Amino acid sequence: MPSKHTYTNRLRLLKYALILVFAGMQVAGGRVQAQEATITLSYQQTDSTKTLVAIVKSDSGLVAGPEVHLYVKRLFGLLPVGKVVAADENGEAAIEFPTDLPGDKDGMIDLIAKIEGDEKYGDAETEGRVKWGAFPKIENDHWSSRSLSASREKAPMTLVVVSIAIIVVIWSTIFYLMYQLVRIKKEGKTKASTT
Amino acid sequence: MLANAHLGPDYHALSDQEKREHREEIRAVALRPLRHISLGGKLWIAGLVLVLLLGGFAYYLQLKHGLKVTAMRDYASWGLYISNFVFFVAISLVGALISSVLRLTNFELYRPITRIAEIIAVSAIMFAGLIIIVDMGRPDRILNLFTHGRIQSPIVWDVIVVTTYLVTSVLFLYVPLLPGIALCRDVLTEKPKWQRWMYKFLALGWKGTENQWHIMKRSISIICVLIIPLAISIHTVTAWLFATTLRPGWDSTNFGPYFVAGAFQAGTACVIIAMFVFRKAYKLQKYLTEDHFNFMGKLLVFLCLVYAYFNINEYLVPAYKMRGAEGKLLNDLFTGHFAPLYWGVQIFGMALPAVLLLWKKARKPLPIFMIALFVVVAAWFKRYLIVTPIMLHPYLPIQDVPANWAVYFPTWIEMAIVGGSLAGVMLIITVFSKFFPIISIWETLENEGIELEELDNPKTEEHAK
Repeated sequence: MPSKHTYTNRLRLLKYALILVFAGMQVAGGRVQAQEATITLSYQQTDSTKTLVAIVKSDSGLVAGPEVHLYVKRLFGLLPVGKVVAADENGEAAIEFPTDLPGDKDGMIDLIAKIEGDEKYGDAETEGRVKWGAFPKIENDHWSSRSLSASREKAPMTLVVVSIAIIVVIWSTIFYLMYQLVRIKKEGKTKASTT
Repeated sequence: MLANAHLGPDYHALSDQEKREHREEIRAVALRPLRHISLGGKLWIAGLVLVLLLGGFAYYLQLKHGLKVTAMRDYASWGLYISNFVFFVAISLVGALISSVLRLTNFELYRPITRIAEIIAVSAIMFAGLIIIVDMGRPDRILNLFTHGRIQSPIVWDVIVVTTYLVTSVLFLYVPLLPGIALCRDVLTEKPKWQRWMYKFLALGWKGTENQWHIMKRSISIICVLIIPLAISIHTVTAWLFATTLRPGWDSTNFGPYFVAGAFQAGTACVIIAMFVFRKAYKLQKYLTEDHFNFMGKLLVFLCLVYAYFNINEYLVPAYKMRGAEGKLLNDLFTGHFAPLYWGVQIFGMALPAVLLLWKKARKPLPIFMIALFVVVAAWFKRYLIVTPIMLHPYLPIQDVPANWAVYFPTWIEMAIVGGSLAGVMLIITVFSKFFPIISIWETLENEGIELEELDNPKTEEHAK
């Protein structure tokens, strides 16, 4: 008669076998359920460098291995930034951030860190916003001076003078022609009174 | 010589009685449409009013619901309205061509046509201004254009030049009309009181004194010179509205003269159509002769060839390079979605008329009328092709929009409004011809050798009948 210990061993073997069969079926069906990973961002800045540290975690703790891609939101899409870095044993992927990337008018940049198609963790993504944008130096010095692109009050003086001159010449002629109509009317009255 | 032909009788060879009868005859012919309106005329006006009202109702719906009732979206933010605006500005140039250029170059055949050309110009430019307001999402803010407009903007230039050209064209219509209005005032005594008052008011006390004639003729000469640069400016600035925008198909230094050439061609065809209709409806065969159609036919051939030259420049040069977005646009025009319209316009609106009108038989009234119809319809679609396909091919892609925004086909509301504006132009021309002589009597008679002082005693002649 089998001992209690033997039963326990058989049950344990059955359990492992079932796990293996189930896992095999999942692999065969291409439906491996990736573990869920989350990314949190931290920003490290010294005088000359800006480094984004993406910390990858799963339910079981910090995760090593997944490659982290970093993007910046631009007008027509996502701009890849820095190198693709795999998370180390502390779950950290440190990506050096360029210092000359323009941000919005306040210098803010919208970042997206992604894990893309990792074998174990699938896709994960997180967004962040940081004031790391370089303030673009507007080369258009005309903004504050008179130019074609300036405001109404700062139109180029030559354009203003030429436009006004043309308008004055043309409309003076039109008013002169209108005055001729007045003369025709006066002439008619004079003729009527003399006849 | 054709240009200086005197089409009437040798006036000096006539007796006094015959001279008087001749003057009476032209007055009677010119005033006949003002005295009587046929059933056909009434139906024509009723039809135009109906189309205009439908357009007005469509505009009411647009005001109520906003521009979303049109097919204009992020891609085609200019559509049928702007195409129509360009068309109206184009045909308005004919006033300057016929009344001014031909007058200054002593082409005497302009005389009986000049008023037709001028009323087309005035009515077209009036509706050009209106259709721009129709295109605005917030027409109640139109005054902002004047209070906040930037002189650097071609749109402001366009507003200035359209207004100026409208005023000058009205003057160009009105000043030579003074003797005609005075004739109506003196002769059409059977008309209602308000109409007689209108003639009296508008005639400005015209008595036909030597001084009045002198002032009037001098004023006409000044307007003739003034209106040529204005006409060229108005259509050049309209062309710059497009050419100063960085888009494939518009980014061209050729655009100003290209537009002006097309405008003269389309406007001349419009005048030919109006000449034919007025000749037939008002029985003006004696004054709008086959010689006039022959001359206008030759003018149209010349203008078609000039316009063809600019078209070749406009399309061949970029087609040789087929650069990026411009290449896509040209492919769409040459072989793609717009190809039937593009080739239809080029062949039936430009190439065929230029060839057909080389034969004198094609320059007879009926054939040239039909050819001119093709030219005008093609001219309208040509403006559609200048505006719409370019809007659908921007340099930068427009993101996150539904796929159907990348195509444009006007809604019934846009079509009704544009139809209403076209009917409006024709209605103004028709109504004008029912209140004022459509032929300039004094200019036609002057060409026959009649002294101007002989013209101004219609009352006496009317009583002598």
